[in-house]
Amino acid sequence: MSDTTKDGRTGSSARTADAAVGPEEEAVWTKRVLLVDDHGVFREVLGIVLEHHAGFGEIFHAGSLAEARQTLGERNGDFNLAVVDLDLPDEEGFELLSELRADTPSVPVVGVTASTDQELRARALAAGAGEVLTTTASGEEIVATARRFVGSA
Amino acid sequence: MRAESTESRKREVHTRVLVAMEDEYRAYREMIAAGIGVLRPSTEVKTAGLDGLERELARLDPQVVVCSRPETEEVEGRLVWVELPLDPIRPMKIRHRGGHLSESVDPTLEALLAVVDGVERLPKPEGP
Repeated sequence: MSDTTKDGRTGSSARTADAAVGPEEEAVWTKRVLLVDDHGVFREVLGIVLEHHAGFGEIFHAGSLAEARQTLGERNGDFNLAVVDLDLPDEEGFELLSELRADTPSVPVVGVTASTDQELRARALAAGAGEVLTTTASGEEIVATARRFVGSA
Repeated sequence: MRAESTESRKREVHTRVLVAMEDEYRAYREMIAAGIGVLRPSTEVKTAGLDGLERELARLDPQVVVCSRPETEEVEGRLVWVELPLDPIRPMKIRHRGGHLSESVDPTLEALLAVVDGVERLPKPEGP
């Protein structure tokens, strides 16, 4: 299991250049993703899966808007993808969407919600989400979506 | 592909885990199962929705169940039932065979894996 660093980072960031990877793999290898979700177990396994099955090199975790802001500040917004829980309390997910669009417009955002409300989906897309996935999505769909956005970053 | 009996398959796999959550949270159950599979490759991890859960429990006979609902009845062979709420502010409840119950206020993947590891360390029944 990947260790978690003091700044909440997991993943292969400590791996050396000795790893035998091709150019395409190396490009994915260094990709950084910010995961924002208050369900700790889901957020952790999502990070594990994105690392092992989507090739993300660094996974950053935040359980709230405040934690996300701190991590974004520490990393100067340097992420290749953000996955944001749109069901965070007090509309924090949408607030984060707005902040990401304003401060780091180059970072694609995938919103995740348990709601199937199409108005919520439209609202999230208008607020800057590049895609909105519901929790009815399969694991493969989530991984494929993440890879698709990383490829376009 | 070599045909294997259910019993021989059970002897090869150390721990069988079933992750069961409602279909509205398919992403949760599939990610949890995938995460356990990555970090504990000796486990056999399956997923199921809550509809038809009893049928899947009988078919798969898991030693560990991770479910968004509480256990409804004890079954011999099922060693641990982990109630993992979808609401992140609710605690995770771990019920071991024999009635021991523990709660984790801030559920973590580490706590979940500790359950799997605990079952993994139990002596395995001898084969025929």
